[in-house]
Amino acid sequence: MDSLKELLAMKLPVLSEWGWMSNPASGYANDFNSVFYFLMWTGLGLFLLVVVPMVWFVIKYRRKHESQKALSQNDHNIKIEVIWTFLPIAYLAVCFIWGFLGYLNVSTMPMGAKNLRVIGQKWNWTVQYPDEDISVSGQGAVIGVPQGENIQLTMSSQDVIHSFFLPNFRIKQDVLPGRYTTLWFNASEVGEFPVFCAEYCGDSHSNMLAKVKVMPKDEYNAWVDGIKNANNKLSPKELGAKLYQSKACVTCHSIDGSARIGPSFKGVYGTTSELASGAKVKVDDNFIRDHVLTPTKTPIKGYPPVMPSFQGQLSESDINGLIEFIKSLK
Amino acid sequence: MSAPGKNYLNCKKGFASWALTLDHKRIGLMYLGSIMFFFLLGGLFALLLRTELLSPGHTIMDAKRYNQLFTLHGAIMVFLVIIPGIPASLGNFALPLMLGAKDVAFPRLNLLSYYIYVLGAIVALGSLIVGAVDTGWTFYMPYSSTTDGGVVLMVTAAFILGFSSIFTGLNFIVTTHKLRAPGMSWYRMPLFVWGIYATGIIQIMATPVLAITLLLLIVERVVKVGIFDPVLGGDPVLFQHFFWFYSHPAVYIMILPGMAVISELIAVFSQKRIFGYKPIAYSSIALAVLSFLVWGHHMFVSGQSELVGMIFSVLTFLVAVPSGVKMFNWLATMHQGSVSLKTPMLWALGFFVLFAIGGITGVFLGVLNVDVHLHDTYFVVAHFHYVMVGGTFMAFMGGIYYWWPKMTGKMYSEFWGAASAIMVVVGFNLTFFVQFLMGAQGMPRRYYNYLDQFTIYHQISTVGSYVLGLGFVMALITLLVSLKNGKTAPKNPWHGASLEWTHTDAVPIETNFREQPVVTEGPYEYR
Ligand code: HEC
Ligand SMILES: [Cu+2]
Ligand SMILES: [Cu+2]
Repeated sequence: MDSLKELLAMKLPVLSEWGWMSNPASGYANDFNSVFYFLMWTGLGLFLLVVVPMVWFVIKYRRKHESQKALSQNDHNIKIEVIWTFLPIAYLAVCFIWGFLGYLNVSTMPMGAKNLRVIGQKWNWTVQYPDEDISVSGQGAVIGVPQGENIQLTMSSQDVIHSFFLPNFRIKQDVLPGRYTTLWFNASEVGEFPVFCAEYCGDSHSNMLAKVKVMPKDEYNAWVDGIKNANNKLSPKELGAKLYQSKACVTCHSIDGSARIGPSFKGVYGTTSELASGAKVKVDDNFIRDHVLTPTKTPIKGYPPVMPSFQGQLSESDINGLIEFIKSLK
Repeated sequence: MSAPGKNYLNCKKGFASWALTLDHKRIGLMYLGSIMFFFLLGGLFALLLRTELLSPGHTIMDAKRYNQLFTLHGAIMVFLVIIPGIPASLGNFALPLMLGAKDVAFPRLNLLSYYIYVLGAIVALGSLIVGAVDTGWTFYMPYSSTTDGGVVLMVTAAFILGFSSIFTGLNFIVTTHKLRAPGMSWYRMPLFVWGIYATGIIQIMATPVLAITLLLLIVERVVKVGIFDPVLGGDPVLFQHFFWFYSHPAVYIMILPGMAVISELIAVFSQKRIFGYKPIAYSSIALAVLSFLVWGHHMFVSGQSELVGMIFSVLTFLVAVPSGVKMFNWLATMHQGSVSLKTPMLWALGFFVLFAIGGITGVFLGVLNVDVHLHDTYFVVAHFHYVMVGGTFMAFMGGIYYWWPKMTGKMYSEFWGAASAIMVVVGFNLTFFVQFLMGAQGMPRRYYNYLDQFTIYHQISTVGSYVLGLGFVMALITLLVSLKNGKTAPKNPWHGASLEWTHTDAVPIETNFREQPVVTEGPYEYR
């Protein structure tokens, strides 16, 4: 999986300032940094406020001989109790309000944003572009977006909970099965930024990576055309090979006979497989088609029933392509 | 009445005298031994995990094994170590002594809760035989209804352990109400008792919710009734609400006893009346109450509504206030004291520094939009380790060292005790501080594989974890060695002023006190 290796080697460009945070890639991320640095510096102040006196008292009032008594037994002072109860409340109120305003900003979807649909599944992201009628998917998928436009993601999951995390944009949102959640951003910087899955989802959770590629508008248009053309020019077998990668069949099925989570595709076409029910079926065009669309109907014996359904994600020609591809693996 | 020279350790001999004992002190020691065993096991898993993370991708194990190990590490440390931790061991040993009671209110229930704990532990380990669980200790749905392995067994174990926790809490609450010595008014109780009492309230009120949640999960997995899994028509976010409704209060089941120990240590080792007794006592109760109202802060990005997120953020900040109050009062206690740096105090000072960091980074996470970025990253991992290990566990170690002479009649080596406390603090910061940096930069948690750029942070963290592990092992060896070679402990080595020091033998007799103590003043009157 070279795309993955390449992805892991990519850098979140780190801001020079203190080397603390990764580069902000949107106006919002800049606002975020102000809150974060405010918390960091005031937090450091608070820390010193308790630790410096502690060290000082330890040194100053250190017991020097066994029978040394305390200098006083003073054990209360209402005034000071009131101060250290209410002063923190004022500080926390500032933190709360600032954070709340930022949160409103993240969670209020802007009007007229460009809508992308995101589908999470074990263990890759699919992003559909309704306006352009294209989609990208697979581990390491490149999600192109135009610079300076509001982008809204409408997200759902095929299986378990995932979470779409864009560190450079300082946003994340859980992606749930059976309901839509939304997220938006407006990329101010051109560049490539990683996408992580932040909600634990099983074996390859940490490989559930993609990247957002922010491009100026004209470059973006060219990118869209590139994807359209590439798909038209492929032979069915080539299309299948591509889908094998991009739809992540590769995470569960090998093509060299080695074992992964599911059976290898090598030489499987035309053989007979045993279902969990004990029935025998011939692996032919119809079987593959059914199994890809509704895998739970015909689970193969001896494997965990974890294959997701690809219903609605594959066009007729995609399915044909996959079948031709599997057929070709003798 | 016990003859001179007899104490609770040597009055009866043989396996049965321990296995069937109703003595709260012996039960406390049995808990202590079991908890330390699981601590070492959970710690070993942690070191394996850290070793795996030395390099991205495969280092010593595959992804599946890694996921199973972090689940085990979390589940063991939470359910078998930190939740029972201080209350079941130190609380059992010291609470009745501090109150001037002969035993807890229900000694048989106390023994039963120990065996329930053992049963829970066995069932938890039994899940390893069926197939190790890889859900994470949080069992999030629908993942945990779809993955294989002994999820049902592991969940059953947590369910069983819940009962042990409820019984212990109940016992302490009744003991505190009913068995105080004559003259021991509420405000003459040591603050340790207040802390354990507040913990007891949470234990009996929150744990049943966990039990119900886990039961529902089992029902869903086994009978396929749709509760949490959307495929069956359920709601996965509902599971998170249920789960955190228990598990956030559980955070206070973990930290309140730690704070309770620290109140004792700071006062005794400063030989000064505790500053702000009532504010500290009330802040424990406030924390117990507030802890029920903040569970939603674990779910700011789960898809819950913005209004709900806002309310939980406000409530979460309120929790910071009582914690701060305690810190400031401890500081004021040291002011003008006679501060001794004996080993228990070193643990307490370590607590002070680490818990301060844990608390302050908690504020980051309470700030709504900052949490959106930091949620489920290493920042959170670092934060809760600072609170749970840097806070609770440091206090636990401090408490063990503090009461060790009373438990065993032996003094340990000051040098090795101090050296291991320092080593733990150094190792701890090495391990976890870099995790704040990684997390802020976006390194998600529960990642087997990671971007190359994080390698150096992970390596520092791993080296730190070896130092940390060594520190803890040294601390335990120091104690064990003292059993053999330690000097005989005097009756009151730290000049404590609470009943367990002033009114008992060097090692207490089976019924604790030779005559009923009568209390005429507070627990912090040093002279
Ligand atoms: C999450 C892992 C996973 C993914 C992703 C996945 N599969 Fe599967 N697949 C399995 C497992 C496990 C089985 C065997 C159990 C079963 O039938 O459900 C299987 C079985 C199959 C079979 C039947 C094999 C036989 O021996 O008869 C076919 C065909 C198949 N998958 C095709 C695909 C295609 C095409 C894709 C990509 C579009 C894909 N799978 C993606 C896990 C996966
Ligand atoms: Cu994931
Ligand atoms: Cu919480």
